[in-house]
Amino acid sequence: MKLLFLQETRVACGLKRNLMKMEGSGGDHVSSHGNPYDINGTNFIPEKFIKKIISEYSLNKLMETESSLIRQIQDLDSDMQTLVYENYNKFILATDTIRKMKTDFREMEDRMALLSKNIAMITENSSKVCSSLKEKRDNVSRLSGINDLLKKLKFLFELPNKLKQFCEDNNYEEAVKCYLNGVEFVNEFKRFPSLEAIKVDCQHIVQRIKDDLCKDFDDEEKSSQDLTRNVFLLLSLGESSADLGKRLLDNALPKLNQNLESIKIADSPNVPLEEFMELGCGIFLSNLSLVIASFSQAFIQTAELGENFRLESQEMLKQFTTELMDNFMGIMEHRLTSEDELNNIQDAEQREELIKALDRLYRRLMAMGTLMPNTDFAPCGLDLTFRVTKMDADMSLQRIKASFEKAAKDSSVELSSHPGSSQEILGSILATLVLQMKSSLNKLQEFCRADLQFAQNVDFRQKMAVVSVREGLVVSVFKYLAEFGKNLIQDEQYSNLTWLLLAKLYLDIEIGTVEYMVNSVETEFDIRREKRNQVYKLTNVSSLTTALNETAKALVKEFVSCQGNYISELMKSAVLRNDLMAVSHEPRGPSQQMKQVIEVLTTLEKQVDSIFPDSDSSSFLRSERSSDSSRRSLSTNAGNRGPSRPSLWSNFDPNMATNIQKLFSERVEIFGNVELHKSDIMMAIVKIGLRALLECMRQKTLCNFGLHQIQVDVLYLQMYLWRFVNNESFLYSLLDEILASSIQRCVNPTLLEASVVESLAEK
Amino acid sequence: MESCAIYGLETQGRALCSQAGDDEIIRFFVGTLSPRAEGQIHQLDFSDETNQITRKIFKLKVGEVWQVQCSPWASNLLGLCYNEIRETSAKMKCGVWKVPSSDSSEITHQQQELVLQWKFDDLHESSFNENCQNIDWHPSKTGRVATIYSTQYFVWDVEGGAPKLISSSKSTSEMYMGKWNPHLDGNQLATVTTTAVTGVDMRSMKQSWSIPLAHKFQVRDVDFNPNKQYCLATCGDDCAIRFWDVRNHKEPLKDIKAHSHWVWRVRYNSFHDQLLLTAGSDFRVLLHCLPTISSEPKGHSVLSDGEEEVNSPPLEEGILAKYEEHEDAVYAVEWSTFDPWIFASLSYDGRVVINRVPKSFKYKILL
Repeated sequence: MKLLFLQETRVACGLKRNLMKMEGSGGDHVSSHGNPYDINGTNFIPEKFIKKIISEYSLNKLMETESSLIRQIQDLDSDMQTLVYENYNKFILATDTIRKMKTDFREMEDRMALLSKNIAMITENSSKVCSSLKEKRDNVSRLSGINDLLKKLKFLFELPNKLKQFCEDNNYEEAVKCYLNGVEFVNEFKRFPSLEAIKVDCQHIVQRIKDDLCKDFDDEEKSSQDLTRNVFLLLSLGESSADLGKRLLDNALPKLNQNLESIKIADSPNVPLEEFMELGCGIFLSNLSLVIASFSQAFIQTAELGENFRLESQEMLKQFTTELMDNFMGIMEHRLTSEDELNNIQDAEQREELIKALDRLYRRLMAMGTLMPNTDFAPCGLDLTFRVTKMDADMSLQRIKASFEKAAKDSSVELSSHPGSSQEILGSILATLVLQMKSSLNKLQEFCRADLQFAQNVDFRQKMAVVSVREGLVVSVFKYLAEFGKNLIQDEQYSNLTWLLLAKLYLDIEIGTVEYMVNSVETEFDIRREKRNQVYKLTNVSSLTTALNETAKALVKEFVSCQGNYISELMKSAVLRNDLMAVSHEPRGPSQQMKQVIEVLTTLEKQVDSIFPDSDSSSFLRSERSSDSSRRSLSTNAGNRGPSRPSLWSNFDPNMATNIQKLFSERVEIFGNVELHKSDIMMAIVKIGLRALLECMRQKTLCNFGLHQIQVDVLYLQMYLWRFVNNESFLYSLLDEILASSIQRCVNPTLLEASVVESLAEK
Repeated sequence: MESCAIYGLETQGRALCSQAGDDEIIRFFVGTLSPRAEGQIHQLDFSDETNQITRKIFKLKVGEVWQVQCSPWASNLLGLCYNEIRETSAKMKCGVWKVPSSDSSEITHQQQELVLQWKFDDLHESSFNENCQNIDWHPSKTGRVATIYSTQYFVWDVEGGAPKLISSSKSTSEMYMGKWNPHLDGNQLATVTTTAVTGVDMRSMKQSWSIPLAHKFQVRDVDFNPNKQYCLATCGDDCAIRFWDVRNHKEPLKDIKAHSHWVWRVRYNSFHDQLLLTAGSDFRVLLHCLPTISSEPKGHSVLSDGEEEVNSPPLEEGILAKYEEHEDAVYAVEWSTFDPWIFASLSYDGRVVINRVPKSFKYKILL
């Protein structure tokens, strides 16, 4: 039973598979499922299937399965039978159709054969017609060719006459056009000798035309319009363009040179500037522009000419104009810069005229720049304008210098005659200086007016503002002042007071004026100090003020040492010239030289005070001190002079006293730096004088009477000197030292009574 | 800072010199200045190792000492300028004294006395009544000495015992001092009037050169560069120190303003002439270094080879050191003749300070 079942299954499977193939579907589908137990799958393995169901299924189920399989197999068998029947039917139908088609085709074949026979006949007829017409067509075409040729010949024969005609009418354009047309044919019929003659004829005429045209180039009167036309014609006649360019320029040259010559003649102060500029801008530059325009129209802007040639002619033009312009600018500069010199008067009208002239020139130059590619004459104009501004600034500077020098000299004279007038002098010098600078600046500013073309150029504005105005005028003025002060010390033309006056002036300038002037220049001329890419160097304001301050200090120091040494000399002569051993009487009063010293110092104080008054606070102190009416009588009471004073007068060991004093006082430099106010200046002078007295005393040997004289002198000095100084304790210590040294140098020292000394000193 | 040695006189002082000659000792002589006492000469021996000063005092039977100068050929001969004070007059005179030999000092422990050799003023006619300005031993000629008075100067030869007058000359303007030029065979004496320094040839007695305006005011001292002909230094009341080539009297070679008061003394170091001392009444002593105008332009001797030159940095021009130990005007400063790195200065209050050139600079110059 088992076997039977197996066989049946196998058959069923085979059937199933065959069925599937016939239907042409699902083959792939089935094979993709590799389940050997799927009865519908391609991988169905009957043995395994059998094994499986035998081992798994119960007997009932096996029986059931068997019966279902058998049923299925029977179903399939009947299906197959129906299919076979259906297909057979279709076959029979197809066979019928084919048989019917066979009879239809035979009929069509016959008709086709007939058609091809007709067509062959048509072809034959047509070729016959064609061959019969060919001869006539050839004839027609030959005749039309001959006709053309004849026309050309006619033109050729007429050409020389035509050309002549045009020539006589001066209608060169037409002549050239005709010739250019004819030339082609002439070249075509070169081989016929008779035509050769015509060609030669034509060439002769054309040569004449060329000559005529060329002649125009030598005619200076010809308008450049005509010349440009000529150039076009000649160019089309095959003339060398380089040669033509040269001739064109050569034609223009004499006229331009003549223009230049007339400008040169006009370059004299007698000719008004406007006329001169008319000659320059109105005539020369206009003519030159015309030449440039026509040349560039002919040789540069023409597209037919080769790139190389255009560059070449551009170069030629550039050379030509540059040469002329150099000449021209030379004359312009000569006149305009000398005009400026003439303008010494700085007359506003003339100035206006000059500026106008410069502007006009610059505008013309700008215009020329647009005419000529690659060449720009505007910078030349700017440069010239800049130089004029620089010269203007220089002249202002010179004027300021001169007037300052004169003011300094005048002040020197004025101070010696009216010592009190220093403040006014100072004020007037400063005011003049500032006014002059301001007016110079205003004048320079006219170069920056908005209506001026060159003032629009940012570079020019910057350069002019920085180089001409800021550096050239303002900074230079201050530099000059500092330099002037430095050289003053060597110059004997000026009194010492002028040093002081200038020192004060410099201080005043340093504090306010420098910064003010530089700032006003910078705002008015739009100079930005902090700008990093500043092309032109800006001088630091602080360097100017430092220079002025240093000069002021040096002047004061020099003044102090000069005056101090003058006092020193007085002191020296009081001591060194006298034989202090030979004094044989008691002093009768302070010595003459000491009185002189005080006199000198008194006048000096007045002078210094008028220039360098003490600041408010110290003058207040001074007035307080001087209001102390007991001041003078103070000296009668030695005890009030502070602790160190009585010890010296009573104590007989002067060494001890001065040494103790030194212990408590700082070392004071005699020729040291000087503060810039009256009391310090006076203190410094007194210091130098007293120290000199001390040194002189130390070189002497003196007797008792000599010592008494010194005693009186020292007290006298003390009574008067305190007024001048700001450091009384130092003054007293110096005076003490002088007295101490005198005591040391005395052979037999005994001192006068303090009261006696006082009464003597007050004499 | 290396320490200095200080010595004090009881009186004021202006006179200072270093002992010349071959004795290997750092010895200075200092004169006292007091119009009311007999003059003294203090002999100060300085020991470099212990930094100690040993003194010996010699009495002098004349007045205060204004100048002392040890003769270069006999270390025990001192030329002195002294102030002779009478009842109503004081007169500057000069003479030569001899320092007694040290053997005798051990016998008597008392103060010794200098032995008077000659007083030059006694050798003149009695009518001669000028103040002596200074006395200057000739630096190389044995026994030659010049004495300078206000309007005259004399050259003596003292080698043979008694001074012999060699030559004398008058000056039209008042002289302040005179000094021998060590160069040119020692035939030239430089005299200083107020602002001028003039060189006079002693053979022809004619002026060889002159610097009419060496300083704006009084010229206080002049010193010749010991190693470089024609070069000299001057100082004066305009606080300046100037260096001159006598062939160009218009422009100084160099002008230094470093003192704040008059400069009284200028001294070249005789071994290393780039070193220079100046003293002034601003209480300061300054040590200058001036390689640019010295005879050793690069700051060291010609013998050194190129390699050394690269190694040692050049000396800087300027003030090497300021010495501010003094509290009064310094009128004298002198290099030691024996040790070129030691010098003494004397201020008016009688303080003697012995100082050294800073070691670092010393090595820079030596190496």
